[in-house]
Amino acid sequence: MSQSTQKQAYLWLLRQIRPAWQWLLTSMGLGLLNGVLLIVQASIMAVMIHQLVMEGATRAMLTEDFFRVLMLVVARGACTWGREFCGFRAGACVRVDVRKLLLDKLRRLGPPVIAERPGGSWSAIAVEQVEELQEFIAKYLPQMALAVMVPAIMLVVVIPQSWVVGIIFLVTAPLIPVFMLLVGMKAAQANRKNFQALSRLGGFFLDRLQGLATLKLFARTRFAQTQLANASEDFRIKTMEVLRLAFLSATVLEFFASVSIALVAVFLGMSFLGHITFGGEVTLYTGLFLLLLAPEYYQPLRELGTYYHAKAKAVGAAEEILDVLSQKESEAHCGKLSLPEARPLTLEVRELSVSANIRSAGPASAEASESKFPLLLDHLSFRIEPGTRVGIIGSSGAGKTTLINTLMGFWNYQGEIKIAGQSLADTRLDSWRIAIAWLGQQPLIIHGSVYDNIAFGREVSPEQCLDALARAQGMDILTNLPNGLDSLLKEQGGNLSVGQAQRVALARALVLPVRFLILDEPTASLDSASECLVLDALNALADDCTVITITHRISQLKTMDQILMLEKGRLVADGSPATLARESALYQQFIMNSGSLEDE
Amino acid sequence: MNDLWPFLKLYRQHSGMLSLGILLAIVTLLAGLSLLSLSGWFITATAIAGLTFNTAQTFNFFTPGAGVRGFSIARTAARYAERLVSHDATFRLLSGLRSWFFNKLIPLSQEQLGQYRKGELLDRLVADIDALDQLYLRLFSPLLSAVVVALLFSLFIACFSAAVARVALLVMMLWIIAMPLLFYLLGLRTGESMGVRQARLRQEVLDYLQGMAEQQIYGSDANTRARMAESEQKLVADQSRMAVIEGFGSALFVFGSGAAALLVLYIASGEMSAGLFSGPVMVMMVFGMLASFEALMPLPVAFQFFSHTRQAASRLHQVVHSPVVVFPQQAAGEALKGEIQFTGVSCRYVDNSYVNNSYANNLPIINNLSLHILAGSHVALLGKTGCGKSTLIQLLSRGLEPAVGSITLDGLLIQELSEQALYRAITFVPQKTHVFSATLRENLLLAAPVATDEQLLTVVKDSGLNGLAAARQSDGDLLDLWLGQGGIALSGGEQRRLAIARALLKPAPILVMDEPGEGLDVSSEQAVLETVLRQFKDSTVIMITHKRAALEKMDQVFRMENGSLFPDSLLARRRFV
Repeated sequence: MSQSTQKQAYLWLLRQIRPAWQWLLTSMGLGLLNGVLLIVQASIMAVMIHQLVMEGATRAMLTEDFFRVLMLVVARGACTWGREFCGFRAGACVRVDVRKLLLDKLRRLGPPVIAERPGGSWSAIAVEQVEELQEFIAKYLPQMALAVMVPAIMLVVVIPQSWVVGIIFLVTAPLIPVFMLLVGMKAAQANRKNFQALSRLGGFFLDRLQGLATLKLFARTRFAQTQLANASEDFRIKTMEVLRLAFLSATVLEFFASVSIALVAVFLGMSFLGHITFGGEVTLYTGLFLLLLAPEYYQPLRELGTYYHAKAKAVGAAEEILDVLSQKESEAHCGKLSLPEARPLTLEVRELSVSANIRSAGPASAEASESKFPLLLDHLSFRIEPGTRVGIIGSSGAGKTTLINTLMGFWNYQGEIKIAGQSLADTRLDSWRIAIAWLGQQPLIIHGSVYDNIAFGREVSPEQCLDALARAQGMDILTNLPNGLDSLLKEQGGNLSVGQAQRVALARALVLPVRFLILDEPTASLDSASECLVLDALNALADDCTVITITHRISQLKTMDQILMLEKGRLVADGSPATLARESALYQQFIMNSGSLEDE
Repeated sequence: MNDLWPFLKLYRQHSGMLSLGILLAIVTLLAGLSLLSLSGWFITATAIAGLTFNTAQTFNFFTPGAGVRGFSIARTAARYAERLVSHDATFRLLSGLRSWFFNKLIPLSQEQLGQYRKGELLDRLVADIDALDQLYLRLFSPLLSAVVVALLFSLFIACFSAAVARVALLVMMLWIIAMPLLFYLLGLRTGESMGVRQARLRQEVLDYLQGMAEQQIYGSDANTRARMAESEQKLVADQSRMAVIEGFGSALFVFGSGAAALLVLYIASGEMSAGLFSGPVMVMMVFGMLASFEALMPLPVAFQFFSHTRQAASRLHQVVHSPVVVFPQQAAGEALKGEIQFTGVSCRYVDNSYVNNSYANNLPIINNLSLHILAGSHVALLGKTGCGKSTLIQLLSRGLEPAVGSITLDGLLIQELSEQALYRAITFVPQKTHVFSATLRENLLLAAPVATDEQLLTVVKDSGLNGLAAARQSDGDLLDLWLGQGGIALSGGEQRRLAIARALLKPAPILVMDEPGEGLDVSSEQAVLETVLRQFKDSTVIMITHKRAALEKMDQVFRMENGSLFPDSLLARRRFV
């Protein structure tokens, strides 16, 4: 968290409030109005008391004034209410916009970039971090303006009444900007440290909780406990040192607020008694009016102080958001042509290369030199006929997933990919993707019914869903669910086994006619019984459907027509399993090393 | 309130600090109140005295003048001290709460712990603890100070006028009782629904991001985004309602303090005209009333979010009252030889998340299993994913209790061994290794608290962890490398190596390894296994695996299928054709 990125984040944050400026202005306007009404209220009350005490008026004579003050108090309440509400609307407005920006950006970055981090960390930025902006926009920003304007208006009113009090106000709030700097910078810095310390301590605690099972196995729970206590103690002492400073700067403000009341009271008292003769004639009205205003003069600034943590939090969140928004995107390589529908979907790949720098971004890669970007795929050439069963093998990191992501149009590439004789770069991506279905390693179950999960936002009939589920060997799933297709599935498939979830995902892939099925280790997370079911379903697919499968299971290779073996981004073997078993030493080696009980 | 009670009891430990904090808060409020009332009295009194030269000369301005200055200093000092003390107390509370929670979690069964490790549940629990920690600063301290200030102020006013005091007390008490109730009720429904909707939005965003590939391929992006926007709107609507309530609280405060001062002025002016007290006293009352509302300000918001705190408490309550594993205090003995006997063991795996729905399927995963492992023999258990191999380990570590049957070590029932004795007898290489956010040294010392750096470095070399520094291009002391969160993220293979290194540091009569070679390539797996087996050559070793590598070194191999064990006759057969 360097100063410059913070500054950047802060400026970015200020630019985001543009769509909310009307709400913000209204909020400030109401705050200002509240300040003006307060001055009027103080004045009327001072007049009332002056008349009661000095001129012997009775309260019956002041009924109108009582009524007026009551109205003013009601109006000020309304102003406060409106001000907070408008502030909230401004914050909500910005949050919705920023969240949309983030989600749009993530969509453009595409699945490969999203897969780099756990999904939870992205959603934390898009949901929680965006929420953190609220208080800053809703409260801090309007208050910042009010902290300058309300005291300024009060000064304008006070100085004609008594220039001495005006000077006391001016001097005790040593020119508000100076104060803001003093309190702002030091306190914000200290506050930030406090927050960092707290979150580190929280992280420490969470880490020990997550590792509790391990601690138990080594009988070290007592130790961790003392460690935890020590860390808390340590953090407490350190943080208190920081806070001592932070509170001190806030206390200075408090001190001046208190002292100015005392000074005003003493000065006025002395003037009344005639011990002080400069500063002109003052009446009780003036005295009370000034005394009523004194605490309110410092109030906006004190309130601002309570929102400093909101600023620190928002800037922290903005940094994280900005970090995502500034990631480099791969250039979209979509053309305008539709995929020729009638032609068979032959896939031809020539000299296909993908390098890491095309898609990955962030400051780290920007600093690195060109040569540091390894080729993820290194000049691949192969051809896949329609209807073939293709297996892609290779150790992890060989580039298998990169290859299929590139084929699906999620990564930029060099070289040539031709589908049905037409270059992918000239093709409209949606016309290509409509022919594809895809199934990943981890079955994806979204919050919704079985139907929602299979239809996945497309217009398909329940009959089609049932048919697809049947072809995915998944009808047994429905027998356990109370409402058939309409039964609600829990998040992450909470009420399905992994095998069942994967078959629902397969039904999703099969529900509309598919000509090109891409499978990324579809059985990796399945037990053997479920694996058999899924493989059966896949084998029963129509003959004209091309199936590309990434797999680790040697047993699955026998059913393939063609094997593509990758190593460090290069294609090291291409041919039928039988041919490769005879001719390719690398293939034989791979089979030897991967021998696993799962394949028997 | 019942849910909160156990947490309130924790406050007792720090009662001194906490009371001091509240006391200082009261002093601050009273000083502020006194400053303003005294100033009002002083100005009015001097203004009246100043009317004639004589009274002006004899007016004693020293005492009130000193009072005004004194109060202003006292208020500042007390505020500063109050902030320090109350924050310090909050930190102490936080630390106390966390230790308490940690203590409560320790005896929970592995099964239960597993539930909480999942997903964000643990994050939520940590957030819940933080919410409780705010209880003092946001709720108790303001509430108590408000009550005390209201009473003292009314008592003071009563010296001059019973009627005004009655009204002041009535207004403030009404506020103290009505506002918390009103705002608790107002915030209740929306607060709950807000929580649900935020969780819903988070889920939908997560679904959207994780399903991005499907979204793009199936062209359902727009639909999904529309649904998310709708959820977001609903959340914003809830938040908006909360903001309206919060704004209402502020508005009531502005109205309340103004109206109360006006009411006091109205009654006091009547009494003043009747000659019951002087003008300066009336001004003092009005200013005092205005200022005393400062004490009442925090109440509405504090109680608007009270339901949130209560829910947090009840969730924690639920966690700490989950079933626990009971270890006997006195061990029946020590298992030193390492003989293991399973007799007719069956167990079912009950996933807690299924318990409350009708789809519960708690299939038996170990079925009438009997197994005798002689001391010092090396045994491999083979089986496919999901056949119950790892359940055996859970049974041995008492992470899971058998439904029927018994497990003994050296003839002693494992339930009769103390926690210390059990874990001294067995060293585990679990399937999932937790890498602590700490240095490599600390991560290793976990297994051997008194090991020297030389010992650690030997183990690091033996387990192949020395590749760690080279790969990260770090040239500092290897043992000082920071791992885990905020440090180096270990790959799957490196995590295995760490688990093995820990095992190497903890000699025991029994070694149990769950998939020790996962994530390692074949040659490193063999090298590491060789080291481990050499070190533990006199111990009983159970190795669970689905690979055929290293089986030659084992004395016995069993296959596990559907929860039952079969001797593996194919030990010497082909590796693969």
